[in-house]
Amino acid sequence: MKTLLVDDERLARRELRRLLEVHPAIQIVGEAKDAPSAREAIAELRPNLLFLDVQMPGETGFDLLETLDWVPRVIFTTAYDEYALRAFEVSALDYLVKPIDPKRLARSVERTLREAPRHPPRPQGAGASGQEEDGAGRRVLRESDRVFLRDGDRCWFVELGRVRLFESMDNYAQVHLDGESPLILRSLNELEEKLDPLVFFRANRSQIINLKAVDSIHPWFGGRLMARMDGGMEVVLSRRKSKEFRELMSV
Amino acid sequence: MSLYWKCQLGGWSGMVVWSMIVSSLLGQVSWRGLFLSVVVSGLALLLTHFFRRVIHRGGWKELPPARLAPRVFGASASLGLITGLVTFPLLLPMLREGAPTWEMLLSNVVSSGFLFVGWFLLYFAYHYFQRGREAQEAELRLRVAMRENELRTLRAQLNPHFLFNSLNSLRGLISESPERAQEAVTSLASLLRHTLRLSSAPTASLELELEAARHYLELEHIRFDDRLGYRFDVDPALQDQAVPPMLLQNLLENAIKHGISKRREGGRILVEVQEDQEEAQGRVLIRVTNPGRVEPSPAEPGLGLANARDQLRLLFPGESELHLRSSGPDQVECVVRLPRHRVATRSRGDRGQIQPAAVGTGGTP
Repeated sequence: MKTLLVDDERLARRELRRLLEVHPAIQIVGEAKDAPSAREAIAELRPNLLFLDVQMPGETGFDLLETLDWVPRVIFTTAYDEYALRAFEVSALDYLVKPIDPKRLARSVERTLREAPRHPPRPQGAGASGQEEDGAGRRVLRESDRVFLRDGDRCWFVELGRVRLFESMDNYAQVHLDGESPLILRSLNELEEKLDPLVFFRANRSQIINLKAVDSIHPWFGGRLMARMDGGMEVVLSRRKSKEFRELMSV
Repeated sequence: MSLYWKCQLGGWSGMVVWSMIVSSLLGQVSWRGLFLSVVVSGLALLLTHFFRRVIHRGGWKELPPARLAPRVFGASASLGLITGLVTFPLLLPMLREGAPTWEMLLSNVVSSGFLFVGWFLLYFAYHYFQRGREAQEAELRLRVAMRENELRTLRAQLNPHFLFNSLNSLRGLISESPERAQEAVTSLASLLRHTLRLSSAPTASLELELEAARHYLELEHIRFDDRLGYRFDVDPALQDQAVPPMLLQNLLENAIKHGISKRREGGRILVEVQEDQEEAQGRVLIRVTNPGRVEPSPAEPGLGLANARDQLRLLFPGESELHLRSSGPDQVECVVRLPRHRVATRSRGDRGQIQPAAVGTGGTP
């Protein structure tokens, strides 16, 4: 499992590397000492697993994750940060406190390895990270890709396929999941550009729907369409998008 | 004799004396008159003493004035009636002419009633006053206790984040450089000892504080590598200055948090202690300089600095200050000014013994 260590302290990285020596399944492909270098390393090395320190100069570990379009599995590390610990607890995230107990590390590594097959890596040719390029050279996010969402104390690692609907709220986008709907600081246009157009459909100016989460389609006034989503939300497609949708479905 | 009995006996005998004086001024002094006023006063003393129990049992002292007034009126009326009726026969032989009338009986009852109104007024006035004083005293005691408690909690413990990070770096250092790891363990032990020892003293000597600060920075240097540099510039004549324990630690933690750990390039910290040039003699200036900018949220100063400020305020009320300000394009300084006070040390060789300094905990501000 390709692993990247992210911690601003050299000795902390060194110690973690030493502790991981006894886990041959963990293959350390690189180290980063802050968020920008981690972002670079993630893009370049495409690790499957991050050991991520929460407190770093400039951006925190959470800040880093929020800016990633696609996140690997993450095991957080922290010395003592009440805020971070609370976030870990309420969000049931995997974390280790420093100095790291080798037994707890072993447990986290085992759990990660056990759960990893559920998210099989993409064929190497298509990019191990799961990102593919479309005709115009842009990276496209697919429904099995994971993103990191944060809203107040709560954090989520969410597979895009679990998102039913993105809804514009001023500068934010509200992400409708089953039961929860955190806000993220992204515009709908930004999201639309990155999402797989075969799965995520821009229904109107303020909503992007997951086509696989559409329960039923109904004719609406003025030749428009209304999509009833899983969970009961109703989305009215704009006139232009209704036409586009009919064409898409008739293919 | 209790205050209550002194007042009762003094008050009622005063009444007798007073009525004698009045009657002598009117030229009507007589043994009968004296007897009458002694009987009235004695009866009133017995009645009021008996009624005191009613007051206690009925919890009258707890009542607000509006609810107390009708009770006092009723009680005065009934006690006045008893006294007026009982003493009326004694009054009869003193009449100069004619038969006694109902008006005379009524006036005797009413005037006796006024005696009791007076007694009640004095009694409750005293208790309200007493109550107020007790409340004030209790509040004062509470404030002193709170202040002591505040000081105790303000004497900052080591920041847990620092402690665990240091232990983590140490783990890494053990395999890399056992010698440096050994030194670091000693530094950490000294710092811990310093912290524990100070939890029982209101002030510490600057010398000890500086020693702890050096250990602290040494440990942070291990953590941050070359991202952290530091320098001390201390007037050796001020080594025995009394300072709030862990004050310097608080300032340094703040400097590292904002000036070093949040900056990728890190920076240098300068610690200066000198006699305050700007003000009159006898004041000390402590300055900690670090790179960075003053964050534009003065409404919410860092907890560490707020603690330091409270500590100073409690130890040197009105005589100390703490300011955080920008001292250059990318430089922040935290300046503390405090009065020159020496800590009392038992002997030169025994540096660990800190005694409450001359300042003590001061009076209430």
